[in-house]
Amino acid sequence: MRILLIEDDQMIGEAISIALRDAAYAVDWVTDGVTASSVLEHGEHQAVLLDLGLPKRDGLEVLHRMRLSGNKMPVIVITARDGVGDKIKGLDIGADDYLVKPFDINELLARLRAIVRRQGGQAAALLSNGIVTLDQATHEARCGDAVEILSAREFALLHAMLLHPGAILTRAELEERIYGWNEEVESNAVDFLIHGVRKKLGAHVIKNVRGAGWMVGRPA
Amino acid sequence: MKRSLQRHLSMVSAIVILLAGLIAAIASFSLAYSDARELQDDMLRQIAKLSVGRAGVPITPNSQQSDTGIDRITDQESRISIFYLPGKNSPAWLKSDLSPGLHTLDNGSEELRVFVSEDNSGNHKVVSQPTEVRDEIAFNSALFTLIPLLSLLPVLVGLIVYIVRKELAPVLLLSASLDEQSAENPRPVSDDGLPLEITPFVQAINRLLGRVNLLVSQQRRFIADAAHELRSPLTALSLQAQNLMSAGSIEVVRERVAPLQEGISRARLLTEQLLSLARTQSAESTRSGVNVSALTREVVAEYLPLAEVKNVDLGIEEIASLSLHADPEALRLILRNALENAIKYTPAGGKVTLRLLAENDSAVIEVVDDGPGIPVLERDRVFEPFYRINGTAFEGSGLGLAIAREAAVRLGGIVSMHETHDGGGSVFRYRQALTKEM
Repeated sequence: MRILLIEDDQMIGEAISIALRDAAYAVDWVTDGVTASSVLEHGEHQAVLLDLGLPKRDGLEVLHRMRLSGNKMPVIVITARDGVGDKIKGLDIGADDYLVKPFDINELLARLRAIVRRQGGQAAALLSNGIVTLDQATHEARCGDAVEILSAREFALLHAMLLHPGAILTRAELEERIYGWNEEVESNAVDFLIHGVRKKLGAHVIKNVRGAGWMVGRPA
Repeated sequence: MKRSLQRHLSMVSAIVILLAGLIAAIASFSLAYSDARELQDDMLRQIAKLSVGRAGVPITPNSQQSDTGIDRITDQESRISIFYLPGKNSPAWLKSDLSPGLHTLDNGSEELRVFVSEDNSGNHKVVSQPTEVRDEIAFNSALFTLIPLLSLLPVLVGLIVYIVRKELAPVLLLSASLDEQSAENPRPVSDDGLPLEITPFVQAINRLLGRVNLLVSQQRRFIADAAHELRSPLTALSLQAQNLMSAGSIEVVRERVAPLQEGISRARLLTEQLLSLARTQSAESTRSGVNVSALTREVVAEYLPLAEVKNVDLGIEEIASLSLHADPEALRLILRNALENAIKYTPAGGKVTLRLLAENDSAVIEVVDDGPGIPVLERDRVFEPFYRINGTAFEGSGLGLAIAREAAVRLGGIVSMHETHDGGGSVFRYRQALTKEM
């Protein structure tokens, strides 16, 4: 899953990026409001982490423009502005969640999972299509008797597919959800990941649709 | 000891009134007293004259007749006696050779006031009255004249006390209303109904309150800003520490320790700058003669390594040799923060120059850089704590120039931001009046 991080503080941005990558997210990071707005127009991301005190364009303004243009991407505001008024304003403008700095990275990850789940219409941390069940908190995948901890990339792949069971995802779509902008993607990287997941859970977990892409089965 | 204006005014007025009253009383008493005595002398004279009207006729007084003769008439109450001389029973103290007119005589037991008149036949008529009686009457009548004055005095004193209290009541009310003010947010007090003389005082208090309010709100904002600013390095630190925890291998740990150390030094820098600002605001300055040229060279040497790392050409341009009466530490603080700021905002390959010049009895120290420059509207604001020019992504405490300004205020100098002559870059300027020979 691909996250857009909008944060002007170099150190914080870097630390959040590392933490998100550790948690198998693909991260793109921008440091000012104007760039953030233009990147958001492309809609390549599944969630946004938004700092409010941004150069060039304030975070609230970025959020406001985004919602005005009908972009429903989940947004978590991460900011040092902790006044109740700021929170109310942020949530009213269209933030899905609000986290005050300094925060625990695990809390950020949990909240991120929660808003992405809500976006997909699920209530629990478990993502399942009836064949394979993925625990978003522990990266544990279960298929029949096989219980395996997936690597970060494998998790990202399976997660992307389980969010849309029954839909065919192309190589490009999968790469976009698994890798950030500045990450080099080997041409057969997706094949490797799919091979890895099939090896751990069984070949039937991911179906190959020749000439089109891959999919996981729809729940029965 | 503080003196109460009310008590003082009341007391002084009361004393003045009492003194004046006393003097008036003494004067009116003595005038009335001597008047009464003259009146009594006149009375003796008139009695003598009236009884003279009956001269030739032997007076046979009914009221008082001594067995020795009819030459003595005495009124019991006023104790006025009339003697005819020569007479058989004239008292021994009455000499027959008394000249006509008023006399004061002693009859052995008391003093007497006598009026002697002489008729054509050479007979004397003497009207006498004991001075004691006269004095008593005069005293009593003089005393009566004091009654209105003396009874008015306490009324006057009371009135004065009342008026003073009433006039000063608004002042007491004013102080009460000031006492009720909360220290956090004092509001200006109203000067309605206050005397003209007190109004400027109230206005001065209000102006002071205004300044205090401004300072308090600035301090409050500073604390809020400082807390806010502390959050960023703390956030970075906590995230970096957690990233360290989740590192899978020792190589990754090594990789992640470096940003953690940077985070720690950033937090340390911010707290140091905060402390430095607080110290600058509260410190007592110890002034001495400072050789500015030597100090400048010291500070420039200190920042040379940083400039070299950034590939910035750092130099000094000494147009005037300056010597200031200043606190060298405060001056150093100004130069350091100005230099650090200039080097930070100057791109690689740029130039930072420290210029010393004299201008109209002032020493001027300039730090000229060829960085991006500062928009006119923001040139004053850059000296505010934590102010950062919008769009700049440089890391820093945001306190450097604020510290420089505080230090300048302490030295009685002025800091300002300008543009360079050719428009590129900015000029930090510190100006302090040159003192005469130290």
